[in-house]
Amino acid sequence: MVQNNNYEANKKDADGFKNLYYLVLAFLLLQIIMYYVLTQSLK
Amino acid sequence: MSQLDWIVLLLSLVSIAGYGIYKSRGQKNMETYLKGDHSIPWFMVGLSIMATQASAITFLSAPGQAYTDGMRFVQYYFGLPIAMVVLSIFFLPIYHKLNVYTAYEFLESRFDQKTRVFTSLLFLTQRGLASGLTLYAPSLILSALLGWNIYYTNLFIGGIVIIYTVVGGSKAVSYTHLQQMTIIFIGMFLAGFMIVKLLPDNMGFTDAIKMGGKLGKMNVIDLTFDWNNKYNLWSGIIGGFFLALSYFGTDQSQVSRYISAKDLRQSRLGLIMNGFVKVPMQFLILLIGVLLFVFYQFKQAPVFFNNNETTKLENSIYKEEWKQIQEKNNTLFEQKKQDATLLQTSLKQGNEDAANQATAAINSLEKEQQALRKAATDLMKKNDPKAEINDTNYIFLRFVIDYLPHGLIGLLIAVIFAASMQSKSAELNALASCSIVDIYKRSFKKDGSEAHYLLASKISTALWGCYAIFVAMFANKLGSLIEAVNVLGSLFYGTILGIFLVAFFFKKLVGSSTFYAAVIAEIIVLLLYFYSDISFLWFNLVGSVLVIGFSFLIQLVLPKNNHAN
Repeated sequence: MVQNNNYEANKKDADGFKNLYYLVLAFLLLQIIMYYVLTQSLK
Repeated sequence: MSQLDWIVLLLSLVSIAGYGIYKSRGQKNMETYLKGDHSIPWFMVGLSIMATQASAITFLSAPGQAYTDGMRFVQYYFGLPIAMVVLSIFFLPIYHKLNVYTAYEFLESRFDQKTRVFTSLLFLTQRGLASGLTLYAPSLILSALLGWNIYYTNLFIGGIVIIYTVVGGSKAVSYTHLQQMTIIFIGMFLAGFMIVKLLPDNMGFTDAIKMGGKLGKMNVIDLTFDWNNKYNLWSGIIGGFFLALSYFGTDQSQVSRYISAKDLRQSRLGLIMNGFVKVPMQFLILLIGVLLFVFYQFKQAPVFFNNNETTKLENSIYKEEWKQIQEKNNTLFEQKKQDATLLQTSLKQGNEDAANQATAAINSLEKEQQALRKAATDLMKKNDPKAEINDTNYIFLRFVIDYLPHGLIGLLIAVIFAASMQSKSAELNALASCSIVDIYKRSFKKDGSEAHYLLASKISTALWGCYAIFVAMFANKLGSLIEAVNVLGSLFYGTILGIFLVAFFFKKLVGSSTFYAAVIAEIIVLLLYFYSDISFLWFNLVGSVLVIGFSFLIQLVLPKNNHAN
């Protein structure tokens, strides 16, 4: 039972981090797009 | 500097050191001294990672870089968030599972002792020299702009860092990082705010950015692919990724920061925080340089920002030529100021044609000013062949001293001190960890008591601190070697990363094949450095790929009995 709970907690943690990783990469992509638009529009 | 500046500066420094010592008192063994007591929360880990990377030169040079070359330098950081994700997934769990003190400890459990000691020695040599230079560089700039004695400045900054790092170890480093980064953020924000405030009356932040864009400084993204171009999107993402992966994953000064966290989760969150914050932070620091460039369209900028060199010219046989250069520069500035005012009005009115005309006029005058600068630096070289003709690092601080109110000058000098101290303290802690754990405890004294190793760690920290001050004292005698040391770092990082990548991802490859592959890869990287024009950012990728490729090839030809680790 305890093992089961640990497994659930670890899985939840791993999923949480997976979402964070996607979020970091999405934020980077968003910044690159924003900076590109900024570069083009301020030329 | 006024009395107020001195009060602000000294208060900032005393509070940093005092707080660090107070929060880290009562260290009882080597583990808590070198790694902390695993009580550091994720946001402090994140700040500590950023603080270790950001030395004084980061804050002095980035605005100067944007002033001269525009915003494109920010692309250099695009690979960093990706590297943070890779480190969190693959590197961190292993470091935590093995409960290592140093990154190189892992290499022994994966390969053998010789690989561990060799990599550790490589780190000690490179980082030891670099730590002297991180102390010397801001001292040099402060001595040039404020007339301070460079030796006393070295001793002062180095002395404070030694005191709190020796007393408090890793925990003091993390806690002081929190305070240092707070001072830096406040100082840089106020500097940016003051530049906007000092712009002409009818000009705001957005107008300044638009003007910076028209004058070619908002060149954030460059999509053209060129092996020789240091800063474009591709070298930033790919080259920057490998550089960040090797620096954050294998450089002990960074590894020691995130293994000091409470647990794996907190380490990961700290790294991810760095992935979120680093790029916007660098963007904003660079933006200060663009604002400064716009500011100097309306205020007379010096021909050369380092007064040490200009004073030498004033007292030389070339003083008449120097005077003429300055007079020509004054005339050009007056013309440029009129065009800048015209550009500002045209941008406000949305008159595109007039704006383009004014931009062309400013660019042509800017070219003439650049020619004058070139003439001035040629004179400096003629007068003194050892003259320092690159003044990028002096631009921001010169503005601070010339235009900011008293009190704020003291705070900005405190920013430089804090930045210098934060990277130095992390380096000292890492150098001590490697010396004691990888070398002393592993090879010389395996059965010492806890008290013995704690004392040895403290002595090692102090000795590395003294060594850094010693290198800083003689740095001006090294001349071009300073540059060579910086280049050396980038030449070795790729190979070291390659060894770690093999260790992490290619379980079938053994120590001997990896070792020989690393030697061959290093020779090829060095040959590329000497005989090609490839930008240094690519060496991290090339070195890593070569180590992996050659490891496979060598393993194929290696006798079977060498295949066991």
